[in-house]
Amino acid sequence: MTSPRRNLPEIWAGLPVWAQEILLVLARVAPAVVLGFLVLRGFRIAPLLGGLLRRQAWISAVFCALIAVSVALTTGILSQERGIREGSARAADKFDLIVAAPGSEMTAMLAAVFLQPADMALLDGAIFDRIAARPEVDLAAPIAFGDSWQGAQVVGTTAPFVMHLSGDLAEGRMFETETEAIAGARVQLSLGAHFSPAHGEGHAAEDDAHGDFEYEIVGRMPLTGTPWDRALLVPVESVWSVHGLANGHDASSQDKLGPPFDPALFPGTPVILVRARSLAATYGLQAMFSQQDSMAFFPGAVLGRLHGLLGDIRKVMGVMSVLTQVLVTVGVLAGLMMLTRLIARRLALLRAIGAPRRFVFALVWSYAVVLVVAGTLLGLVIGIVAAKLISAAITAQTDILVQARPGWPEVRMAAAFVSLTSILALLPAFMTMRRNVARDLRG
Amino acid sequence: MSAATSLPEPYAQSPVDAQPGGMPLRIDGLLVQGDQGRALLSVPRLEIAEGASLSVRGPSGAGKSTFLLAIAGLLKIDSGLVRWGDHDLSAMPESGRAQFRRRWVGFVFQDHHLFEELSAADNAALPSLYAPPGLRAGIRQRGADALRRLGIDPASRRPVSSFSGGERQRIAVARALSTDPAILLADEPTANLDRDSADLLARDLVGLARTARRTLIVVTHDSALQSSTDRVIDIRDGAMLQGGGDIAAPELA
Ligand SMILES: Nc1ncnc2c1ncn2[C@@H]1O[C@H](COP(=O)(O)OP(=O)(O)O)[C@@H](O)[C@H]1O
Ligand SMILES: [Mg+2]
Repeated sequence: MTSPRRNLPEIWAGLPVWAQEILLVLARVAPAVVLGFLVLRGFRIAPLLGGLLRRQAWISAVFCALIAVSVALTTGILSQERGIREGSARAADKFDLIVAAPGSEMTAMLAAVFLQPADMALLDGAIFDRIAARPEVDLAAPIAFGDSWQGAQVVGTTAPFVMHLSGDLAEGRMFETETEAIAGARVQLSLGAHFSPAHGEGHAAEDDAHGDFEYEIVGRMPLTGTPWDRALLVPVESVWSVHGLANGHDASSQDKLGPPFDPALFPGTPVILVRARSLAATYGLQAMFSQQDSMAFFPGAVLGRLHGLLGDIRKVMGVMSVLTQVLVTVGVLAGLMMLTRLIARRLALLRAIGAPRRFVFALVWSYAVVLVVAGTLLGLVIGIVAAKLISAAITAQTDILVQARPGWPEVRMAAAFVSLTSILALLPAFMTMRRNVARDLRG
Repeated sequence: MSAATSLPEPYAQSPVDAQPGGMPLRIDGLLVQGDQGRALLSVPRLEIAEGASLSVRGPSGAGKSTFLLAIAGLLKIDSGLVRWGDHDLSAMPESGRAQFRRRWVGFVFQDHHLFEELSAADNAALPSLYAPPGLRAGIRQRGADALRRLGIDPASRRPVSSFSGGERQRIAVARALSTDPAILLADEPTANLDRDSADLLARDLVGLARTARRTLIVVTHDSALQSSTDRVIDIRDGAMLQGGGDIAAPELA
């Protein structure tokens, strides 16, 4: 039973999001629509407006393009920032809770989620064992990076983590021995191919450090839209073995892969990914392992801080682009005032044969508004297309799947812009209305 | 009058045409000044009966256009009286004068002043764009009728830029007639036309005014046009010469 009288905030909160968005957009275009109604009421503007646009086609196109570019700038920034935020958040999606040796959360987050090389201290087997033994823990996986192959990170981990990242494999099967590896979707190695890991990454990589140890690709993950698409995932035991360390298992189970590990034979891992059965359990674990010898944090929260920074940058750029937009519009309106001088005789003729002042006013105003509306629509399209191109470039560079799509903030911005400029457009319209008809008629 | 019977009827039946025929003009002590206070035009006294026609002539720069603009309510009147029937233009605000023009005045200019991108019919019906919805159909109808009467096919969609000078001026006349005005004002309407076109236009203009008993005031150097109006007056150096005073309507048979 709903109560018979509900107040507005409740009704608002009860609406679906899309309905709220549409109402917000409508609220922003409302001033322009009301103004249009008041200015155009009782007139048929279209034939003369069409004539005007055709006669001034080039100037109209240039004005329209100027507005479009400025609107595109704002649209692009909005859409781009959102795309980056969403893309990076998606990349962090699978990383519920990260435990690492005390240090910078940001470094650990960038290393684990975005595979950014970092020198990190190691967590020992005791800590891993304490985490893995908790009943509320669903998945505890070591993530051991440090090796590479031709720029691709070679990451030691466990089969459950691979399954957690990828769901079902796109092809092949899971690694079953220390010399088998799973390739990320964008790794240029096919099933059955062999590679030798190098110690370290980039320029510091030492190609021959690990002798002639070779992995064979036996499976491939589907595309995840994250930097993990360029990674090679190998059994964590092999990473330890290659470095001449114990491999986590005692002599009786040397060929075993994955947990449980013997804490005494666990050489260490820079990062442990933890997934708990519930959100509450995740928070509990985070508190439990934020201690002297380990730190536990939510990558999402750390990423949130980065997004805050990104948002600040976007705000600054947004203010600049809105300023650009306003300046361009003011410039265009000033141009329109000059343009109306060119058509002053025609406007004077209309006045001479009896057209009301408001008719001439409406003609000039709607001319300006048509340019603004057309420019804005064009700008939205250009902005989105530009953001898509930039997003594709970012994706190619970082492997973070960034998708720029048109969103409500852009539409709201465009609606508000149209309303604002339709108010500004009253000025040139007002100026033409006040011209001396007799003088303009003599031309 | 023989020309009258050949004209279509709608002119007399328009909803705008509250009072049949034209409107009398009375001017008393009219003075129009230029920007620096220089007297551009003075008309001590002029009375024109409704339905009468008048030619105004004079050298270039004498003030003829100024005279037309003043009696059309397009100029600020510095002193004196300009009254059309009961409408005292000299006492009206700008908006009232625009409304007066819209309702009672048809204007034809030397340069036809058409909208080049529109068709003949759209140009002729231009006032319908800002007329109240109830009057729009009537304006379109009369505009088309006037075009037909003036020998231009109202169904043609050609832009007027493709018409000859004489045709364009006739379209401008049709536009002036589309609101069934009581007053027709024309500023050198035949000046840019060749002899034949000018004669044709002069005949039509005077004929169409006279049939509906519109008051016609036309500035012209064209002696053929002058001789077909009831009266000719001269303006020289901003002053109306003899020939002012009272101008009666012609006797209609
Ligand atoms: N707004 C104005 N201010 C000052 N002088 C004007 C203005 N408009 C017209 N004039 C002058 O008034 C005179 C009469 O002009 P006009 O009526 O156009 O002459 P006509 O139509 O007889 O050739 C001219 O000398 C013209 O230069
Ligand atoms: Mg003149």
